[in-house]
Amino acid sequence: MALREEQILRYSRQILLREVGGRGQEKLLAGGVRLTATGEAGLTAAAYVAAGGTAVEAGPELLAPGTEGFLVPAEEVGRPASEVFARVLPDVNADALPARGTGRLAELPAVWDGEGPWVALGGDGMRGVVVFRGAGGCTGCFEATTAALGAPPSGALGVGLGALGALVLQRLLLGLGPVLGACGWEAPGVLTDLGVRRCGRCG
Amino acid sequence: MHEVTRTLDITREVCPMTYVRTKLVLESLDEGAVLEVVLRGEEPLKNVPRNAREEGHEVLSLEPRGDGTHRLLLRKQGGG
Repeated sequence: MALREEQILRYSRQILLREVGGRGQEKLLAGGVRLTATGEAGLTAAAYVAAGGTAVEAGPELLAPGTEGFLVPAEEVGRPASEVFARVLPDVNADALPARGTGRLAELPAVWDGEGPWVALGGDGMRGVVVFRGAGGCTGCFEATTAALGAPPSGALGVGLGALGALVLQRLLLGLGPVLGACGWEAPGVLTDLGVRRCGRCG
Repeated sequence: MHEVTRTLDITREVCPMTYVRTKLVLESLDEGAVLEVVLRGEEPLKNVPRNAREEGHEVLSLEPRGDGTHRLLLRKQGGG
């Protein structure tokens, strides 16, 4: 898929990044995720993923207070995410509108399916946690890790966690980094690598 | 003398598109190919060779053309 002239202009600053370039931007545009989220973390992640050119297909969940941002106008809070995205995405970034790809981006608790990449946004009571799995990553270890976590934090910590989740998802789409892992995010912006729980097969 | 594989004119571009255009063409070339870039102004004169070098490409030459533009020759290296 060759980049169109308007895409070269829109994504020029991403193309400049050594890890992205034109070919990487094509991968971001070819990818897509189904979103299951109602809060700050998931909607912040969705906003950055959509702005980067990757398709985001939202579910029927009702958007919670706190999700207002450049993707969700304040008057849309309380409405189904799928309806809001259908109205808003053509203006934010039409490249993110047509459903495609096999990725999942979800706030915990969630059900996981499809080939991936998978990015889970959760929390353990002290911090926000991103658990991720790319193609080839063990689904059992991913689910064992997410099973130990609760819902993601709200407020500023949730917004930061969402931004981190978007970056992790984009790295998976670009084929960068490990295919399975977890990282913690806590105030005032401390990122830590976390271990992944091993499933019965890998343990 | 280097055999030029492709020529790119960025004299009408401004930052960051000067290097974006250069980078996209470099990505499309085979390793070892030589890209001739025609550029104008201080910003691309400084930034395009520097960015290309930082991404691992070889700057073969940079010389004025006598009409206010410069001719930059880059050799594509692997990966970029």
